[in-house]
This record gives sequence, structure tokens and C-alpha cells, in this order.
Amino acid sequence: MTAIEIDGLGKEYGDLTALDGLDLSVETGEVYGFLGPNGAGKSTTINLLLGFLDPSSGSATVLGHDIERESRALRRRIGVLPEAFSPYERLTAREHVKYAADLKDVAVDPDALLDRVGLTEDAWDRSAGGFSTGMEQRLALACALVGDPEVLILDEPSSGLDPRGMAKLRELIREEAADGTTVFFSSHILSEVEAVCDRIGILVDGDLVAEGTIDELRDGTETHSPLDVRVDAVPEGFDLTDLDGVAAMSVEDSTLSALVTDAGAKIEVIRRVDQVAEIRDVISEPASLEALFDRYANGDSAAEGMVDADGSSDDADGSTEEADAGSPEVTA
Amino acid sequence: MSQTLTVARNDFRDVRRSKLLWGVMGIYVAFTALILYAEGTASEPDLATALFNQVFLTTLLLPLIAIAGSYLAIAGERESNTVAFLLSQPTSRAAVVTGKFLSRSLLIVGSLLVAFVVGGLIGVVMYPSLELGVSGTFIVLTVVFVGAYVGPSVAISAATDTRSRAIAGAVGFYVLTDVLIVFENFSLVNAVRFLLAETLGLELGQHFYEFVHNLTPAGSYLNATYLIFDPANYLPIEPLGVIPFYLKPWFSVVILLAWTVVPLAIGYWRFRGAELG
Repeated sequence: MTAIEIDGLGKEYGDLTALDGLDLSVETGEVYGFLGPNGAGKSTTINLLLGFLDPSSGSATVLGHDIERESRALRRRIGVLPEAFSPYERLTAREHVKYAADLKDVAVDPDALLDRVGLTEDAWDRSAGGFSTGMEQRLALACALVGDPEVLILDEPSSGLDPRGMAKLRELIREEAADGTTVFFSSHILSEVEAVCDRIGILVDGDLVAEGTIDELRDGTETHSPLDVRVDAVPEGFDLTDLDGVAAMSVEDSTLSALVTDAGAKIEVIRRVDQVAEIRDVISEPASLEALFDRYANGDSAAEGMVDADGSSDDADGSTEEADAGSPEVTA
Repeated sequence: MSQTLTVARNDFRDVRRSKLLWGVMGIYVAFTALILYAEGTASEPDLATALFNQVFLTTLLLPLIAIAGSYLAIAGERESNTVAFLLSQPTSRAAVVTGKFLSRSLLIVGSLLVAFVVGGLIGVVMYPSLELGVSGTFIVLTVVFVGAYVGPSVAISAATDTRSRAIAGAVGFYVLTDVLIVFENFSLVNAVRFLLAETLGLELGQHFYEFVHNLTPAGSYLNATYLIFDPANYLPIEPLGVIPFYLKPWFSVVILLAWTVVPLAIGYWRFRGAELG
């Protein structure tokens, strides 16, 4: 069964293409991570699903309901944490949950929901105008959970959450998934999505550039693992790309970074460098999804820079560095 | 229907906690008290005279209060993005427009009632009679008048996506349909007369221009006050004479109701097709 089916969905604003014929499907009970840098079209996609925007082309269904013709029936069966959720300043947390329940025409126990999302009891009867971003986000999550929806659509749910809030969010998503709820979850931070999602789609510039399970995506990246060699000085014009199994090379200060497509080529790279410079350190990274995401998130030009073995490309350099950081946070 | 009431209830709950709004509405209460008190100190206080002054004050002030109380109803939600919460639920946009209209009307009418209670107390103490026939008609007519400005304000709010556009639209509507109608010296009706009669040489007759005046909410409210004050008993008002139906006071009430409903329908139509976010 398909919970969300997106067929060639596109959105244009004049000359600007926000979403370019997106095809995507999410199975019932699946946790789908919708990953991409800011401005990639994630919120546009979600706003199209919710009927906030009208598609320029294509179509989509959620739980079998057409997004354009059956928007209300669709929204009755889903829970939404919208982009940039903003509460009513003069309504309390309890009143928000009650409001959502009344609009959905379902019964609700506001206290249980607010407790579940980790909003402390002293905030339940306070006006939401005084809430921190993290508290607002918890409140939004509580409102999304009203009526035990079959599909949860969460647009950047982690924004404004502290590490504890994030752990709570992940726990909640796991609980909901265990309960059979389909979760569609957008984020620009890979590590968040990776931890809870069954499948990930990476959206860049309105295009789905990669999709699959974490393992599938990792397999796809294994062929490109980064190798950094720190030396005293890199000789001018030094080039490794003539070696078999080296896809790209770049230099920053005294660190030489190579993207190796065959693990066996690593030792050859080190030998070659050893002949011309004094090696201080060798860092060999496992093939990483971070590197892949980072490559996409930083734009195709950077990725191409690496593959073309354009040694002077700063972009390519930057992307390898960010990959080392573990959880690249991208603003594109 | 129940969604309309849900939106209305929660919007009312939200907006009644706005202190600024209560301050604005306090002005009407204060002016009402002032007018009734001033006439009350006369040697023979006459409630009809006080209400006559009150009608003039109401024509100018009440639309402003209605606008202040409703121009942000929907545009404010779009600017602050609370609308994302509202429409993430299975809320119909019609329920948003009607619910907002209900709650904002209730808010303004509520403050009117406070003014009338205060006025009534002054009336009991200072005037020989409350003249319930006259004052009762005034109250009903004024409540209808509230709708003729809350309707368009909510409609403009539904058709705009920012606070600044909503206020510009609502104030523009106020100036065109109220300020430039009430004061005869620079009235839009005279401008129309100048254009049609002087420039184009059309002979359309006095009734036509009175009808144009009557077509505006402020003009129709003023014309409907013939229902309050009987020219036979109350000298400042000229007798109506023989007039076509479209200048009769009851028709002015119809026009006021149309000003409530028609703009709302247009505002809903615009909001229904609007893209958010």
C-alpha cells in the first residue's frame, strides 16, 4: 500500500522552478526522510501536499486522496507539523491542542499529548506567545499527533530543538512508526534522518538526486572514499589523478585529499606522496553517506570538480572537510 | 457549521485577550458617555437630541473601531504563519472567513453593548425617559452598521497576505465610503455629480445622487436613521417627501446587509484561491 504517491509534481513561480517534476512514493508504515539543503524544494513539496500551493504540473495523492480535489478529507487523516510553525500568541498550549482536535472533530486528551512531546506541565496553561522555539516545536508536534493520524508529515521538526528534544523527537517517530504510522519527515541535517528513517530521498534544486535505504545509499558511495594525507609541503603541480582508482584530488594548505574509487589505490597514493614529501599523517575515511549528501548538498559543481580531478577546486576541498565533521549542516 | 463556530470561538478567545483592542473600543464607550452626559446637563435634557449627536459620532468612529478589530483577522494569520496551523487541520477556508467574521462582529458588538449599558445608566439618572422605541431602534440599526464594516474588513483581510496591505485596504475603504461621504463639502457624491452633470452634461436628477449616497454604508446608515427619528416630532430632520423605494429607510437597511455579505463572499473567493507560504 502506498501512503504518499507523488507523480511528476512541479511548481513554478514565473521563471523560477521550485520543484521539477518530482516522482516519489512512500509505503504505508514507512519512515521516509526527505533530505536536502534549505531551498531545495522540501517545503514546497509539503505545502503542495497540504493544498497550501497549487501544483504547476503533475499530481499527488495521500492515502488515496487527491491533493487538489480532496484536500480536506486528506488533512482529516494526517497530522502535520508545518514549516515555521507559529502559535497563537494569546492561546495556551492546552487550547492549541484542543483547537486542533475540534477542527479535526476528534476527542483528545491534551495533557497526555503535551506530556508525550515533553512540554513541561507548568507551560500547559501558559500563553504560547512566551514560548521558546523549542517549546513551540514541541507544541506543534503535539498538535500534529492529535487524532492519532495515519500519516505524519513533519517539516523540519527538529528546528529549534535542543539535543534532548531531538532524542525525544526520534523516540516519538519510532513509537509512531511501530504503531503503523507512516512518517514523512523533512530535514537538512543528515544525521537526524539517518537515525530514524527506513528510506531517504535527497532533494536538490527541486530534483530528487538520490533515493534508497541507508544501506543502498552507502553502497552507492563506497566507490568514493576520501583519503587525506598531511605532509610538510605539497610540491607545485603534483598530480595523482593519472593513478588508476583515483577519481579526484585536491590540495588545501599542507593536506592533500584524494577521492579513491578502489581501496587498493590508497597504498599507491601514499607511496607516491612519500616520494615527494614528508608524510605527517594519513586519514582514511570510510565511505560515507555524509560525503555523498554533502556532495549533493553543496551543488553538482563541487561534486563535478572532484570527479574532474580539478586539483585547485576549493569547493571540492570544502566538501571533503565538511564530510569529516560528521553531520554536515548545509545552508544553500 | 461546527468548524465555523470552532474558528469563531478560538479566534474570539485569542483576540479578546488583546489589550490594545480593548483600549480602542474603550474610546467609543467614553464618547458615548460624554455625549449623553453633556446633553444630560441641559435644563431639559432630550434623549433624541443626544442620540442624534451619537449617530454622527457613530458614523465616523464605529467604522474605525470595526476596522481596528478585524483588519488582521486573516491577513495577520498569514503574516505570522499561524494560518499554517489552522489550515493543516481539515479546516475549510469558508469556515475561516465566516468564523472570523462571527468572532470579530461579536467583539465589536460586545463593546457597543458596554457603551449602551453605560449610556443607559446615564439616561436613567439624567433623562426624563429612556425612550425605548427610539433608543432601541438606534441600537439595532447600529449593530447592523457594525456588520457593514466588519464584513468588508474581514473580506479585505482574507484577500491580502500582509498586515500592511490589509490596513491600507481597510483604511482606504473607510475613507472612500465614510469620510468622503459624511462631509458634504468634500463628498464623493458631489465629485460624481461634477463629473456627470458639469463635465458630461448628463441630467440625472436629484434622486440619482441621493441613491449614490445611499449606496455607501455610511450613507445608508444615515438614511436609515429616519427609522429612529420621526421627522414629525424631531425638527432637525427634514421630512422625506415622496421618494422612490431605493431611497426609503428600509432599503438602506437592505444595503447595509448587502455590505456585510457581498464583500465577504468576494473575500472568501479570493482566499479560496490563494496560495500560502
